[in-house]
Amino acid sequence: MRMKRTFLTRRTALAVLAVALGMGIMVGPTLAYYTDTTQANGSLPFSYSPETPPPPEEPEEPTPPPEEPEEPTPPPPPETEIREEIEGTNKVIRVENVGETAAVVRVRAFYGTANATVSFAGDGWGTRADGEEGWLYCAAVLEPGDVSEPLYINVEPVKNAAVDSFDIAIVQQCVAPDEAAEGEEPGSATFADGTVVLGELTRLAAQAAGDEAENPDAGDEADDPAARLSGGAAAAEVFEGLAPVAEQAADLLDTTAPAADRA
Amino acid sequence: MSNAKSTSPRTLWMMVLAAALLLVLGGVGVVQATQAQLVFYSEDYVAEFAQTHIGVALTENDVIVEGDDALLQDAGALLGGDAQMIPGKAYPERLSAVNTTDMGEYVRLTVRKFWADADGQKNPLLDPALIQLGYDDEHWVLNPAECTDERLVLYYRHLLDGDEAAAGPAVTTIAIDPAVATAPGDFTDCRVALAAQVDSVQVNYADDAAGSAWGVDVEALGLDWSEGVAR
Repeated sequence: MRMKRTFLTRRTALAVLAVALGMGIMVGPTLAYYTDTTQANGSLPFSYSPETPPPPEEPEEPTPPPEEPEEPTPPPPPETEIREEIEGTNKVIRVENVGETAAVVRVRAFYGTANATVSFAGDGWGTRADGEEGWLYCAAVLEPGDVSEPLYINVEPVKNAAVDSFDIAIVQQCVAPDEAAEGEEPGSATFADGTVVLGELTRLAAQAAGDEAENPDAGDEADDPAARLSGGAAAAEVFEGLAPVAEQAADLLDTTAPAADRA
Repeated sequence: MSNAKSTSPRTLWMMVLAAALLLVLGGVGVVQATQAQLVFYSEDYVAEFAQTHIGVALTENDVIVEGDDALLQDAGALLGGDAQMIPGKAYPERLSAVNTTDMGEYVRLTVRKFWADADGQKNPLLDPALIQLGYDDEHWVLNPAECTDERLVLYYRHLLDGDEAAAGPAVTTIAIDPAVATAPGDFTDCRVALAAQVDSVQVNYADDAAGSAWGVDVEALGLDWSEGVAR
């Protein structure tokens, strides 16, 4: 009887344990929370092929270009006028700056050599020290309104030559002087065929005092070629280097003169 | 046997007549009983009954949508005059959630983007990364662990109270990557497809609910889903 009671107690305990284990296992999955869900879908047609490149994207708003600093307006080119005066058989050349900026000027004479010899004088003028031939440079920078020192062209007829006329063609050029360092006066200028340093010019000799005298009849004589030739003064100095080729004058105007005047 | 009385014909007729009479009376009685049941009404009985539940709806451009072919249907409004989506250009496409019940809840939005054939069938050969979705990270948190080239999962930061819409859309724009010009695959006749699903969980023990229902540790995302809790 005792054995049977023990057996029943053990069987009951096992049953209770089994139920407890089963409930323990099932409790977890059976815990639930309130949830909800909703879904939707859809699509949109699209087509792209390499042959039909996509339209350009919306242009971005153009950004204003950065303001460029206004470039200083370049100074106007220099303007000069040549003045010629006839004194007997000689010419006196002056150049006036009629522009608004400073100018460096040079002149060149074209003439024949068969009937007369020509020489140049005037200490306000000079030639380049590097041996350049033909050009005579005004030694000073001409400010607006300035007139250069006179350049004397002295013509002396060859003895016994049968001359009834003698022409001298004058070509002058002007350029703006090169920029100088602050506080310094401009001392050079660049022409089409090179740069000249005014301080290094080989100055011409000054005109002889007798030749500088005013000739009140000069204007009248200028109209008479014979008188011009017959009344010629002695040349102060003859520059052999000047090229007396008249044909070059026209060519020179076309090739080397940025601002050229022909007198 | 000779004592046995035989039933007279009169008696027999009387019995038949009685049976017929009982039959008629029985039929009439049944009919009356049936009519009595038809005209009987019990008194009105009204019981208070309320089923607790939460509900959430998906909105596209502030309109509730649900079901197939519900998204991207208003092409005119979406494209703003363009014949089709222009690669590199973002178009407004606002996907959000709204609470459709009077109980608070926490929500998340899952969006799948993919290419489909002209007949609407998903085309896995075309790169879904070429479809680009813009999202709002002010009110929503992106869970990178759940995101792929095809899927975005965003969690709303705040409690979505009863009948309340999210403060901002989860998805804001849709665009096609200009790299579609050089991407492998045939894009000559296809469709840009979206599938969106919004899920919600209860307010109480919301983090546990999210972990149980979605398998996500919202605390690890930096979310504090303890607003409105009555524990």
